[in-house]
Amino acid sequence: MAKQSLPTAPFLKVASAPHMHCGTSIKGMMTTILLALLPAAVGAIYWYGMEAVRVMALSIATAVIVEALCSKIMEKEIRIDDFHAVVTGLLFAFILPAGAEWWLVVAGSAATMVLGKMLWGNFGGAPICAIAVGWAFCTVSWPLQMNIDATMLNTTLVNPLSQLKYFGMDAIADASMKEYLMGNQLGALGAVQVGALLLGGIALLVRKVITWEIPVATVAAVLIVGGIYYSIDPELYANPLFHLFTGSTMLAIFFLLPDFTSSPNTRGGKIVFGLMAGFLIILIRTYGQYPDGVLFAVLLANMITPLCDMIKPKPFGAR
Amino acid sequence: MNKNIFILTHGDTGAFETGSVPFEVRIPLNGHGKKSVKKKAEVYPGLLVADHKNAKIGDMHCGITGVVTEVSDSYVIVKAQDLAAPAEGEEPKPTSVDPVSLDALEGEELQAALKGLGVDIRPLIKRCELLIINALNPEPGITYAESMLVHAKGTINAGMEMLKRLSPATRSVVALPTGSNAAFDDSDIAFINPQYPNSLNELVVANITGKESMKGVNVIDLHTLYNLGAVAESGMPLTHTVVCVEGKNIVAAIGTPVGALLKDASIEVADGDTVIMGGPMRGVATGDLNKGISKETNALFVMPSGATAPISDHACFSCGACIQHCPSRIQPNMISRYVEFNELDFCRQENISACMECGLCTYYCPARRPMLQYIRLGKHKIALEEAQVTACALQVEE
Repeated sequence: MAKQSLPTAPFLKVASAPHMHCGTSIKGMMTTILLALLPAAVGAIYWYGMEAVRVMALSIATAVIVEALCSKIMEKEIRIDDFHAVVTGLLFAFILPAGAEWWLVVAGSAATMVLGKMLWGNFGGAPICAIAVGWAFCTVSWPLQMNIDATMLNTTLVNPLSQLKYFGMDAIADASMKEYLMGNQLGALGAVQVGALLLGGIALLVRKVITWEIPVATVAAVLIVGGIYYSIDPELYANPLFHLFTGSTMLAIFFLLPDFTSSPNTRGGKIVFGLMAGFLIILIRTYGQYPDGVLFAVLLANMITPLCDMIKPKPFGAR
Repeated sequence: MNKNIFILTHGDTGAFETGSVPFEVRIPLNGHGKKSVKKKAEVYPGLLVADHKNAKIGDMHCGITGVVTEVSDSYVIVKAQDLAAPAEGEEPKPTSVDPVSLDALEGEELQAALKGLGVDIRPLIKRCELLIINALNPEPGITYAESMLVHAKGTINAGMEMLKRLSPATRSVVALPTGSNAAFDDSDIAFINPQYPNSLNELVVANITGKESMKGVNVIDLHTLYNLGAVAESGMPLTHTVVCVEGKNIVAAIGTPVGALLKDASIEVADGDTVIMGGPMRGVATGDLNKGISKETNALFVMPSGATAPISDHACFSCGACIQHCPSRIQPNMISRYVEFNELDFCRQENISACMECGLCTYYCPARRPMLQYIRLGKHKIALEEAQVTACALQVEE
């Protein structure tokens, strides 16, 4: 109706400057992350078969439904179409054993979504990586079902981290880094597809979804701290490369530590954060009770994120 | 993603075209109190339309021949038409104004003469030691700078000369894009990497002086210099300026409606498009195609509807893209959150005033948060708060 009163003038859209945009979106970034996770998912299916498909599908479905339900209860706009729930669900499945019970997957995935994301408002509020929260929840509640060696009895794969923990250096003497890269090790279903995750992580770096600081700093810290222990006594401590290529280290380096909301934003902060995380990974693996301490390292590193964010450059013109 | 759009050199795009005479001009007024024309008055190019009581803000003049159809506080509309021939026995009506000779004038007389010719002299006479001419294209997509240094060199030189007479600066530097071969007498030349946001005044100053401070430095951009030069060269009032219409540089009468300029450049505007007065990064979107261009309007752009995702109210998810690209090295993510919740003290703590308003944070934000708008809102609120505090302090003193 209003159009008839102004027949000649087109209705213009007014907006605030700037009027251009680079074209990135949350949905686009999440799609890139999903594509980067695809090789690891294929690897998981290759090594663990339909069991892996079951866990991944169940975890993703639960995450999406829980997010939608929570948004409904919280009277917020339902934003499952940005795929963040899919990414979170898939990443949570990646740290479960392939033989995880269905109720464990559902409970863990729901806890990841509720405690790790929705409780903090919406996407953007969580101070701690949601996947690490879900993992801690499950590990503390059901340690037996989360134990990879206890749930994966019908497999010929060996868990190098448990071997190192309980049988010492001799047990991993014939370890081949190439085999580890290919995913030939027992562990969480997606996290041990080390080569595939490395590939995906590099894709994320190239597509600029994540920046180089956290991965590089974490790798550097793992190599340096691991190298110090290795040089103290190669008979007692493992090669630093062994730590890099086993367990969930690679998953944490490229997908869990650079998680947007829980990592620092400034360059200096990111580097300190990455160094801290790498240091904690080696420390927990060397002295901790858990063979694979990576998720605890992620949790603890997230704790110092606010401190890391205080490392910021001097603003323009400030004295 | 595409870094090339931020490159500010476009090569010589040829001499400026003179725009056709528009069917009407809508001369924008900016607090000009005294209108010297009435409705139905006949006007001709150069005639004074409105006077500003501040001695440092230029008066407004008409650029076309025609009849005044409307006078309001914010604009004067002149409809283009030939003036009626003088009646038998009458004196022939004037059709133009005489140029003012500026050569012999000095100091305040010169300033008053320029104000009368429509030049805003306040920025030109700012107290400073170093004068910097920012000869880069101000924003991506704007193409006039290099052509201006070739085809309107006479105007620019006249402007430089006049500027040196006005400005108290002892030294002047011209900031040129790397690779430019423009030459200036009595002025140093500095080369700036022609990549947005390097064309921002603050960054040009930092690049030339090596200090991140605007103290004792005055930056004049090329568009202002061209306007001053046009007046200095001819002694005629300022009635035309250069507008870059989607990359095509046109000399248009001040007050020409945006729609007329776009139509001349055969750019279609459809429902839902955004018409921007100024550059695409910092310009203002207009809701009315009849709006007239002002002295400062340097560009016109049309963004088709759907070219960018709409602004959203999504929460910041701390991806850090804004921090990575911010030339002021502040944290737009935190500042925008603080402004959202009206936490002005935290904004000050995060150095909101260091923001140069380049718009890169909003350009890169994947959540499409209106970061620049938040920062401008925050700055505005802080200014209001400070004004209130000053007012209270004055009351206490009394």
